[in-house]
Amino acid sequence: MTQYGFYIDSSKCTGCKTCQLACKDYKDLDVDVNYRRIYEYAGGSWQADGDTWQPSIFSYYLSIACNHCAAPACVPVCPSGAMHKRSEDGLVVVDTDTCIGCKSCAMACPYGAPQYNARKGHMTKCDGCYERVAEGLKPVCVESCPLRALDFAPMEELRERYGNLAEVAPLPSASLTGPSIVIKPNRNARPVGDTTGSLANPKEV
Amino acid sequence: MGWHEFPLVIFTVLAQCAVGAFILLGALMLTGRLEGASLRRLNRPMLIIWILMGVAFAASTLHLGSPLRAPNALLRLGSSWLSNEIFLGSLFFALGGLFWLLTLLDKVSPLLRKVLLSIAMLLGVAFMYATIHVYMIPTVPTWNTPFTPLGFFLTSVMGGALLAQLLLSLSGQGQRLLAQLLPWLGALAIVVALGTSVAHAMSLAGIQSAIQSAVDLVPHYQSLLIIRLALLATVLALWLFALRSMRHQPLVLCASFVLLLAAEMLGRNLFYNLHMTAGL
Repeated sequence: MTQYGFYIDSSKCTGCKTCQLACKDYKDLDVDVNYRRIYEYAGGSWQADGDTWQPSIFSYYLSIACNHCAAPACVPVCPSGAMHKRSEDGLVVVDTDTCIGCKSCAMACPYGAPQYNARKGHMTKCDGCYERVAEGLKPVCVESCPLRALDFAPMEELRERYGNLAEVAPLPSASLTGPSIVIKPNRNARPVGDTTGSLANPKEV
Repeated sequence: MGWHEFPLVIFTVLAQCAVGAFILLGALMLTGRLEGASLRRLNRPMLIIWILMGVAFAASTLHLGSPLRAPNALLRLGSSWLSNEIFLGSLFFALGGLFWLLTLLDKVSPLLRKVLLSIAMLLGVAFMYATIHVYMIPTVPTWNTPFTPLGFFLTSVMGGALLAQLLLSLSGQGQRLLAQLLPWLGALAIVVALGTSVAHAMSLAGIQSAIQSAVDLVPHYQSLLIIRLALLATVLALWLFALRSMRHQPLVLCASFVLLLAAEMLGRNLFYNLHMTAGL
């Protein structure tokens, strides 16, 4: 099985949310459903510099959709089998004809990927644009990014090119679900487990 | 505090009380000291158990976005704890209900009925076990603690003992040994619930992700907890008072049970509001 995944360049990302909007347009999503969400993690403190104190602040963005995890938290809890990991590309997809809308997957996912659609009565989520991928195209979010801060490819390729980092604050430890992502950290990125910052845009995610 | 999971609050609390009462009264029936007329007299008010189960399951479907697809919840039986919970709960409901009906109609041999009763009791235990596992999600640090099984178990013991007491009282069998032991069991469970609720509240201080702290999830958590504990203390007071006043015993026990449901539903709602993941 080829496991596809996302590359997220947090050193380039300006938090413009073009990826989120391109996805929303392509997938025709309601206002309260976002397959891709941009988390702004920010914080700061003061550093002694001789006789003065200098502000030491940080703020950076992480564009997170579904990480199509190697061990997804959403799949084992699903009672209907609607939430499944595709054997051909490793993408985690919800079968919207089977889903009963019990929201168990949303409770379990530590990335907020499964998104409940109240109008449709079932779960929806990022499917990695698998139909585009099958045609040799990239997901629509990746192609929309004006900063070229996103990429999508087989994980082997991404890891060879960009390394193995799959966790920075405020993401959970990668050991929980084995997310299929590679992150290039912002120069101000805080390590996973950090609690010195806060989510600066809670109403946007 | 939101009430968005209220259908699940009703489902879990009512089912736990019903299973607890069924197992306690089932134990009494299995000991064989309940025969003929006295058995049927106790069996009749046990209909309340099945009404509670019916309301519980009806409420559970309200939790679903697509209630008409509810049967799909069984598709991952054996793999998903939610599938297991629904399956075991339905089977408990069906076999326990069948036992109740056969006893009511005095059909099939008492031995066969006892076998059915034993199976239903075991299914009740398995049902409760599955419910616990539904919420022991490794990525949800506020639920994946020993306080979850403990809290669910205590609801079963408190609610089950009080409901069993009420049903014994309704059938005029308040003098039985079990009826005299139930208040002790209930009192013990309520005292344990008081202690563990406080310990649980304190344990929340240690649970946080980069962007969420468990202590910030529910505004006025302590006040709401104190209301629940005060309700439980009132439940116990009414319960003990009911046993002393023979005249209105079922009525007072009924009031006590309603207050217990209120206390446990408040507590369960606090539980659902404490949901957070280890990440975003």
